[in-house]
Amino acid sequence: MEEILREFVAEAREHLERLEHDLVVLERDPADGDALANAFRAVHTIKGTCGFFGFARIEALAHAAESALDLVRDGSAPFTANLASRLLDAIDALRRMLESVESDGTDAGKGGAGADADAIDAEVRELADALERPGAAPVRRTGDAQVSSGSVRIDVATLDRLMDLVGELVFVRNRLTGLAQAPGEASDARAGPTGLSRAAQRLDRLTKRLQATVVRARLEPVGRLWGRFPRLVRDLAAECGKRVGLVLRGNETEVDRAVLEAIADPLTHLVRNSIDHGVEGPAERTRRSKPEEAVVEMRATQEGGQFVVEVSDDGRGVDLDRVRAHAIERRLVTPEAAPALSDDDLLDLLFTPGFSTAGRVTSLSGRGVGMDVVRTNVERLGGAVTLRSQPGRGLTTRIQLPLTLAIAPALVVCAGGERFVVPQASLRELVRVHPSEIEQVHEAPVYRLRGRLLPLVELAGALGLKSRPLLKCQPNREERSVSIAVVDVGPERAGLVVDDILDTREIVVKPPGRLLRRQPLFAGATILDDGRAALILDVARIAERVVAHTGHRLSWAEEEALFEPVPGVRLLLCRLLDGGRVGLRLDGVRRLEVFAKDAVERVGEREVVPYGDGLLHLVSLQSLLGSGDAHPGVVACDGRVHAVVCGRFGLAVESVEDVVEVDGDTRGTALVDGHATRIMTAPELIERAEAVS
Amino acid sequence: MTAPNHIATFRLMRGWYGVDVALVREILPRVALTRIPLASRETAGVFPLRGRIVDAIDLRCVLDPDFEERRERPRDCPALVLKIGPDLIGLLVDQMGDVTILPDADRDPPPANLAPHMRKIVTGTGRLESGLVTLLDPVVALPNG
Repeated sequence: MEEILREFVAEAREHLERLEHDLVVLERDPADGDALANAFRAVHTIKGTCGFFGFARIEALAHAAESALDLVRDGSAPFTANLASRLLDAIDALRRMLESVESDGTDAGKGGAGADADAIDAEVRELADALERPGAAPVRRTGDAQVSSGSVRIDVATLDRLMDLVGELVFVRNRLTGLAQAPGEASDARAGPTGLSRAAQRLDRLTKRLQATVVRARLEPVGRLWGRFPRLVRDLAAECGKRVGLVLRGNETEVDRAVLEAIADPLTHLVRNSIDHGVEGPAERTRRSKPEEAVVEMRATQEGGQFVVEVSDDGRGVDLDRVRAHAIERRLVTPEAAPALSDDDLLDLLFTPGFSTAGRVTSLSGRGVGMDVVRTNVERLGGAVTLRSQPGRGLTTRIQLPLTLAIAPALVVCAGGERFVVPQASLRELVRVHPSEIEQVHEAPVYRLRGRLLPLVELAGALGLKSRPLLKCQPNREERSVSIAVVDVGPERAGLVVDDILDTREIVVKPPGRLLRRQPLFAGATILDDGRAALILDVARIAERVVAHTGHRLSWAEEEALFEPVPGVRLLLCRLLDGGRVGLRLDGVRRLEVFAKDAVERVGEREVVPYGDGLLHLVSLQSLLGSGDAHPGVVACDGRVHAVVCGRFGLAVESVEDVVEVDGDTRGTALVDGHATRIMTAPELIERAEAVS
Repeated sequence: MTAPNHIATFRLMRGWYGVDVALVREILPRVALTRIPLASRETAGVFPLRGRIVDAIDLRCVLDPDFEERRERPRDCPALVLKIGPDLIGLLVDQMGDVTILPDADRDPPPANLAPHMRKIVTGTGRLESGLVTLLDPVVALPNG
């Protein structure tokens, strides 16, 4: 299709979406002059441009809609619900015609001839007639309109190409920084070590900027997605015989296209759930002294580098007693254990496949597929779903997602002689154990992690590669330790046994080609520093293959909470520049970074490094503890800066030694791993850093 | 496929083959291959090409259904990158040949005694000075292509 035609379709779709929105507004408040003017303008524009392209059918229908709105505008006809329905029907018909324009360049399908064209002509006439007779009934209700989100101003192929370029640039950057850090190779370079490292720095900065710009270019306002919901809510409410208003907040919040597309279905599902099961009918609401009209609110925000959407309603909330009874009935819990379940445990049961508390099955929802699909979809994108219920007052579902899916932190592991990439989003923790600690239950290898059995999946074996037998080890013999990556598999956890854990880094996620796509165990591929490709594991799929789901049990996290009254906390053990040791609680630590000394710049009294989009303020951790030299500097003995990133600060340490687990109530100075260690939390340190800077 | 005039030739095991040069996007002296575990026999793996990930096909497994030895080929081998629809596909070969003109006069239909599994893939044979080449339609040769 020609470029100009494609643009026409994209624009017309945008106008229709806005028109739909305005019509729903008008239906609620016929006196809204702005909405009427906007609606009129949208129809008029569509009519005008169609005339230009010679799409007579679209033009005729748009003209009829315009005339109907014109009568409303000059006050000679009221804007009734009936008229709204007919106009919405017309929008659906216009959408179908636009689809046909998109597929074959005509507004009647297949060259504008034959039965299709006749049928469309008849439909246009019928709709146009109905619009002209103010009292006429709506022509018909069509099914769900296919709302396209394909209206983007930038050619997607260009965007993708840009992403490729960035990927390449990232790779060059990594190689160059590697060269700069290896003194032997660097001295060969003509520019000498300092020139080389300076060049590397520049490249590094450029890469980060380019990366940030491109990521931003992929962002789109959530408003684009919101457009479809007023209509959806209107139609669903009518179908259920309820009165429901919709509040949309955070129109301007920007998020990656791919994320936007991926959450459209889950959000639609949540809205359906709210209207069908969440909110009460008008009579019941009056009885409970609530306003007759229920409210569904959708809110999008950015919180700390994450995209958050909430769908809430002011309906009846989740009846926890019914969930409990249903869980016992479905044998998900025993009658004895059920009373001990907390509210959160009960809400989490709603995510169990096939679990539904809906009293009846309707055409909209209540078939027991739903929340589990929502959770699976969101988790596959590296996000999380949580529920908050206030019985009698409403339910809020919160979805958290990364802002972009194209670049993601990941762990590089080695299994069966190949390297694989595990997305950080599905990774819980890493453990290294002696082979003798691995036990078996009927040949299934397991590891006891904090009192719970963790089913183990031998990655190389699961992928059909050469593997080292896990269970043939003798206790007490000198054996290489076993590396286990603990990953989430839905609500469960599993341990992926790998040969080696190599590195964590930011990877540029590449879509799989036609052959790789057919192998569902991989989510794509990426290019590593040495220029070779590595496959990205779809961890959930791999573990699913091996770990049998034996009905539902309590999720790992819940059970862990039940069995361990004081959960352990994880400490990042840091060596200070003066040799002292600090254990920093891991919650609140954003990342660990290493910077070249030359990257540090002085701004007045402060030392900063370019970081992401802005600057990271470097503060020596030692100076915050009020011991020794007040300004010990931030450079470690190896000539680099090792920084623990908390908030906007990089806390400089001599080195990061380990991550260990201690009791949750360990405070002050404690003996950790046989050394006196001062325990600190990120918020404490940030507060102190703010005070000195 | 319409009769191609320019063909790119390559050697696989003991035979020489040719494909329509219009499909060829790139000729790489060696590619750094990453295997795809559990993939079909013909799928040799993936390799990076200027920021993209390209699937690689081991044609030997397509041409010879009994071919087993996947490991005998080094991980760095020459490849012919073809553009097929929106995708790039790398054909792993043993040796690169040339891009030459094959006049229609030097082109023959596939021999009648060709093995059944080859009939769909082979579009004909060509007589070059250096000897016979088997002309392939790589689109058909792709697994489930």
